[in-house]
Amino acid sequence: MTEKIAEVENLKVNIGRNTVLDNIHIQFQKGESVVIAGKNGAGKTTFLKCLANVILPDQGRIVFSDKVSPEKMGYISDQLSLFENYSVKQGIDFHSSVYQIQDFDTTLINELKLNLNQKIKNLSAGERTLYHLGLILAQKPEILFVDEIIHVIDPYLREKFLEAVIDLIDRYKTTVIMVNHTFTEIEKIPDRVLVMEKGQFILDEKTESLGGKLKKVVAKEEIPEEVPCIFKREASYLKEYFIYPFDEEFRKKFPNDYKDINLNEIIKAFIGGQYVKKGNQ
Amino acid sequence: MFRTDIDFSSPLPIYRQLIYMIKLEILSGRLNDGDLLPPIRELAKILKLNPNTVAKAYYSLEEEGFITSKRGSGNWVNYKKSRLDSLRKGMIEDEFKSFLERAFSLGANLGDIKNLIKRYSDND
Amino acid sequence: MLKKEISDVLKQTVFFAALALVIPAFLIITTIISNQSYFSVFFPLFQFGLLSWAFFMGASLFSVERGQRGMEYLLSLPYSRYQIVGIKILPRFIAVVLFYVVFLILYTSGGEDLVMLPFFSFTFIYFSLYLISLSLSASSENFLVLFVSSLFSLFIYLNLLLLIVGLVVLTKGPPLRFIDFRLFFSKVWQPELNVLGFISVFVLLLPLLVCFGLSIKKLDLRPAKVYNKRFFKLLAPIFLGGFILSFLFANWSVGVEYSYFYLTEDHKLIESTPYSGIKIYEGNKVHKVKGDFGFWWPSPFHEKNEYVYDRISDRFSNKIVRINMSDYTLEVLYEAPPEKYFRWSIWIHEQTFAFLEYNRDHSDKKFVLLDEPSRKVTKIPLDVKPLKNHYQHTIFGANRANGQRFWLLMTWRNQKERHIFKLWEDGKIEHVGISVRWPFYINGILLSYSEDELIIHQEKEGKYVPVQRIPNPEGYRFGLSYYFRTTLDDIPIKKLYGVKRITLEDQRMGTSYATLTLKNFKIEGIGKTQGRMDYYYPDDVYFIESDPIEPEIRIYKFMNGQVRLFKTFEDFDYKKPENRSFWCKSGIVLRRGKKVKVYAYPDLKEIKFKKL
Repeated sequence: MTEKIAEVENLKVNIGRNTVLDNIHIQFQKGESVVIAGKNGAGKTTFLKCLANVILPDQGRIVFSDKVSPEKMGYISDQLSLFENYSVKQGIDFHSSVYQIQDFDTTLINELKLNLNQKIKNLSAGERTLYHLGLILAQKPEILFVDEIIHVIDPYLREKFLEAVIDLIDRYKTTVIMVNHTFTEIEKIPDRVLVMEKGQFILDEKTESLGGKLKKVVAKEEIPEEVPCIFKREASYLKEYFIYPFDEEFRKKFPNDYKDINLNEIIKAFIGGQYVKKGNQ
Repeated sequence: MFRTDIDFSSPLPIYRQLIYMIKLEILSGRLNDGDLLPPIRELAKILKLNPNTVAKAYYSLEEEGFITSKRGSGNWVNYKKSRLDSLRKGMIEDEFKSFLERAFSLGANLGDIKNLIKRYSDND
Repeated sequence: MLKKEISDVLKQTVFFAALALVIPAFLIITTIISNQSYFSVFFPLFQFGLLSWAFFMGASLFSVERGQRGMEYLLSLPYSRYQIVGIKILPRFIAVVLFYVVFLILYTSGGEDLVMLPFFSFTFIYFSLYLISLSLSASSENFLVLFVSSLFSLFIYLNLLLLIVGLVVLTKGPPLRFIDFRLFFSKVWQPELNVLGFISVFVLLLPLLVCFGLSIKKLDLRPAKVYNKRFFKLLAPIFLGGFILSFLFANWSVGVEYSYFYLTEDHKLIESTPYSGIKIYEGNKVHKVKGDFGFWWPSPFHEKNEYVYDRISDRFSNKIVRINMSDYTLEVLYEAPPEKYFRWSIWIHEQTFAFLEYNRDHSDKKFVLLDEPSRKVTKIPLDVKPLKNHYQHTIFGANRANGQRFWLLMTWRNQKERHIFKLWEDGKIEHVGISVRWPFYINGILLSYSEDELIIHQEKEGKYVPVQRIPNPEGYRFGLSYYFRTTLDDIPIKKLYGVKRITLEDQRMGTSYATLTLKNFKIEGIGKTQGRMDYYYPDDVYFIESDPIEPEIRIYKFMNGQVRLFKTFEDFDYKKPENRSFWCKSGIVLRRGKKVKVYAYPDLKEIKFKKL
């Protein structure tokens, strides 16, 4: 489906004197699963908060499709922000009334075996995350924003979290936009990868085509100028070059063994390259 | 069922890898004609894949003639024996080609390989 | 979400309400032990408690979410920023109003005397503190910062109000150096009369609320100072606009202050301007009277040597003062105790002032003697037999007998009975007689009335004995003492003027007057005349008439046996509030707005004062 669900126009956000988001222009399609990566301070969390309406842009705007109402958007971050003094039941009631949820589907929450009268602040991080996700699931959201939450929780609950997200994607064709540092475990879910650096997107590719566009070469000699290398790593006699965007011609220009790399390594290469650039300035 | 890891660094798109995995299951006999495949959602959950990816794989398999999809009741293994045979032949040949490539990159020659085959077939 | 806000507010309110109950409960217990009223201690503290609670209600708009790590969740909810803030403010504002109502109830049921902050000051500080702290609530998470900022803003706000008073005063006329700021302050903001003044106070807060509204538009997790700098281009005109609007409302709420005038016997003009003090004009000069006094409408009851004697009475006190017309100082001769009043008629005999003092409800009447040189005050209670059930006591004469001084007092018992008493300075009260109309005393002779007679009494052996009975079929009443320009013993009076009892018909057709020659006690009617009588001593009488249709004043004089038109003042419309006429013993002062003209008896020629 190529139906547009959100369009970000000339988004600019300042925090203090820093420009954290710099004139961003991007679109999201309905049903897309997107991951946003980048080094710390790149602006990923700020961007997601803008999408969730938690931070308001200083310039520009975000336009959602008419078919998506604010009740159908869910947001969860590593702040795990909820009304802590509420009990589990009160939190459910509040969320239902605000998001106009008619029948609250308590499956996920039941799986956690929570006591309904327990205060939210007394839940563990993992329980709280899945509880919050449970609240969002009950909204039957059309968009879900997830910020750096994977590593807040233990591996077992992590899996439960991912399964719940997959469930959402299948059931409601939810658009999922995730900010994440690393990709083990989630690397197979997103179909689009964005890398953010200094408030700008420096990479925006479909995961399908990334494999073909980004390759690693291990060689002894220096790489020629015309081969675009975004990152280089040296260890005694071996040099590792990360090439993007890859072209078949390079096999002739720089004949070597071109390897495919996984999403984690791709992101590391991009981020590393930015650090190098910064060092050279 | 199967828990083979999908190799993300392979140049092959994930759905193609999944197709390959399912074909292996069928060839090996772990999946028989008439068996019910896991629903898209469940398979996605188990393998931590995007459901669209699984859907794509199933769709492709249906096009190639290995499964049938019935709305509401799921996906079933359903193939003609001739189709399976040609698949088997094709996959074996692919594996052999890969083997040869790898052997040659190690420095072997055709003669070494022939000797190997002879040795293994004698021992059975 | 409204339910959540209501329950949050209830929780915050309950704490304060509990405090408000616990403390008086504690005080009640100590009352029972020590037998004192708890309310007088509790209520002023309650006032201040309310102020801090108003601050808290405003500043704590987001404190629940901030304390619960819920800010991000709150902002991600499907509400616009304005909706969130609106739902939050509503129950809090209602709570602020409800607690104010509680205060009102306590205030009106006995708290009036106990407040530490006067009612209107408290009201506007209470609501403005709430509005100020509300406006700042989005800008900081730190309560201490909010508290300090709120107090500082309140301070600036109050100073701006003071500045507005100064500007209003400037536009109303009296030069700044003559202004009594405190009195003018309360004049602008006397909301009993002054809705506009009250509005001006809150209009000044509008810019703060506008800024709050603008900052809400940008409310998010980032610190708010980011927005304030940005809005500076908007803020400055908003604050300026609010200041101007507030000034205009305050200005409209205060009428122009016009002066009140009095012309003394030696033709000095006294001008009294409310809240600006007293000036004395003399020839080409003007002098300001030094002293601290409230509003005074000069109508002196006595002038002697360089002194002018008058009463000053305002909401707070009743005083007898004298102004020294040569060094322009004012001195208080006597101040009535709090909540006591004295009648305007003060009788002077030699160097003693005699008057009556009583409570607001006319109970506890006392006869007060003030000796001018020594300032000694003697008070004699009058709520005794035989004066019980007598009303409208008035002192109308004094004399000495057997080495002691007595004062003549008249009272009203019913329609037909005016009683006359002698009050001795040792406290003895003697009943002298009854008169049908108000009696008169002059040169040792007492005049009293029966239905159709004027009875002349003389004192013989301590009693008043009728010596002559003059027929008085028309029922004229002679000797209305307040028309006399000076004390009766100063210069011999030959004639008294009397007026017939005025009926409605008389008012339309003209009032009847008569003269009484004191030598032979002959009564001669003058006839009906228009206007009302205004004496001039020694023997001339003038009648003043204001025309309801033509804007002019006509003065008639009785001379050569006839009442004739003497002088006309044209172009004087007494119905306009800026116009006023002052009828003084020595002349007439006509004020038309800021223009003032002074005319002196006997010929009512204009006297010019250069500095006027």
